[in-house]
Amino acid sequence: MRGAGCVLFDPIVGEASKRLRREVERLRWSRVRWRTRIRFRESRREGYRQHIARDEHVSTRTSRTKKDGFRPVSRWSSFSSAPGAGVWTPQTLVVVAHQMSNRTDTAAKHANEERWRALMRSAQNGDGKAYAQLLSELLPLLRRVVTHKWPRTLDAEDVVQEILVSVHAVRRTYDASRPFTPWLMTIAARRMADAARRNYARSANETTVDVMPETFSAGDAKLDHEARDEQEDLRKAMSTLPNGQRQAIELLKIQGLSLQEASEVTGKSVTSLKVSAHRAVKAMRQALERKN
Amino acid sequence: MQTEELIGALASNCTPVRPLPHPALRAVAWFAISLAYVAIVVAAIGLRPDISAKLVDLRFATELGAALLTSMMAAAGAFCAGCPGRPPWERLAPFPFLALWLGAIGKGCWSDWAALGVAGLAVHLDLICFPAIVAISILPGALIFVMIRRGAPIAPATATGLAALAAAALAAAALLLFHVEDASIMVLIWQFGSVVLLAGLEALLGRVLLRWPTLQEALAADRRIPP
Repeated sequence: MRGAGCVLFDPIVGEASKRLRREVERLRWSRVRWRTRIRFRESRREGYRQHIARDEHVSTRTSRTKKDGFRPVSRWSSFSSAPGAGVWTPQTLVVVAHQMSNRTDTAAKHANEERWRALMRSAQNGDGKAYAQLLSELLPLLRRVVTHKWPRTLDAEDVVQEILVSVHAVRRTYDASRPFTPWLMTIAARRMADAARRNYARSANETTVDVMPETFSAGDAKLDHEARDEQEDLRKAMSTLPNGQRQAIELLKIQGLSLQEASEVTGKSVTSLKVSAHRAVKAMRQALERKN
Repeated sequence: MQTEELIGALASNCTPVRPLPHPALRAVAWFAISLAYVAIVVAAIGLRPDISAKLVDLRFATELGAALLTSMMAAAGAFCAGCPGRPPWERLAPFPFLALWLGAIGKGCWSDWAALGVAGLAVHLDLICFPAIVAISILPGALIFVMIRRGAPIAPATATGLAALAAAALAAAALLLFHVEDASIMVLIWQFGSVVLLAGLEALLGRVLLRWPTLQEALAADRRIPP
């Protein structure tokens, strides 16, 4: 049980309720990072046990419920088998909640760990069914881990798939005498780091804009006067170019000749034409930037 | 491809695999093979004439022993760096011995300085050390590289750097046995320096040399495994 989220609605028990509140305050375990909140509700002392029995006193509240996939389930029933369950004082309640939450949490983790180790051993022996079961059981965990790292990233599922492929590729490195979860999480962490590095490299070449810029070359994509202004600016920029560069631009960019054809027309080498065109474009860009 | 389909594809290609042996066992195996190879090389070249006197010299013996231990522990660290879930401190295993090796050389430098003054720290060009270390370490290096490729590339730079350190330290130890170079400053620069340089260069190439396989590569590797 993830008992850190227990919220106790009690009591009318004066001093005892204060102690209860102090105890529950201490239940803000950093390990699970859940926030607990205590609320008090008017209730009769005699009805206290009945409320417990009706599962109304304990609920689980968390602000991270949806994101992390935790279900806000009342788990009061698990207390019925706890030590001291027959004597429901606030003190025993808190102590038992603490004990049960830790015990069931640890026990569940231990059970998962043992099952995954056994499944992985079977997978290493070539049992495809066990392997499919293992990967299916790991899938929600990996999704949770990845989406926790990147809450709003679209390619989180891609990263999960990369982790699964990596697990498959290096399954021989799992040592059955060692715990399974650290093995898995090391692979997941490395693959997430790789994905982060890749995303960073990709985003370094991207620019975020509020409005997508118009990139159509056709005049009708712009307003008439804008198109006329641009043509005029380009014409002026071209007129300032040296003859060789202007000729290269006219042949290669306006008439659309290939480098070879332009070379035959001008008698210049292909390399020379390339250099001329490059310098011309650079000079025109600078001229337009100066004007703007 | 949906993730559930991917799981199905992986499960259908789940061929039996033999788990990798413990990193320490692999390190011992590599070290034994490489030591045998290096012994043959040293025997072929011939031991230095003053080897019997040198082996009883505590500083020389410390240098030699530290170089060999650095090699073995670096190999163990490299293999540990390819096993997910193992504690990261295991990768630091060779560094105490590397420090010991450096300390022994440093002690020699200090003795030379005390005995000869500045002349004891004179450096000149030695064209044997670096090429010899590279040449001797090629085969052990190739072997350890093949072995670390079977692990997981969770720390590629560390794994390749430690692998190169293992091979180069072994070669440097072999060099001590046949190359007469008594000036500690020369040993520091041309032998110890070569080892550190090779390890650093190899670490820089780690991400290129070791990378995660794609889905197609992983499935193809499964098909290559004999039933």
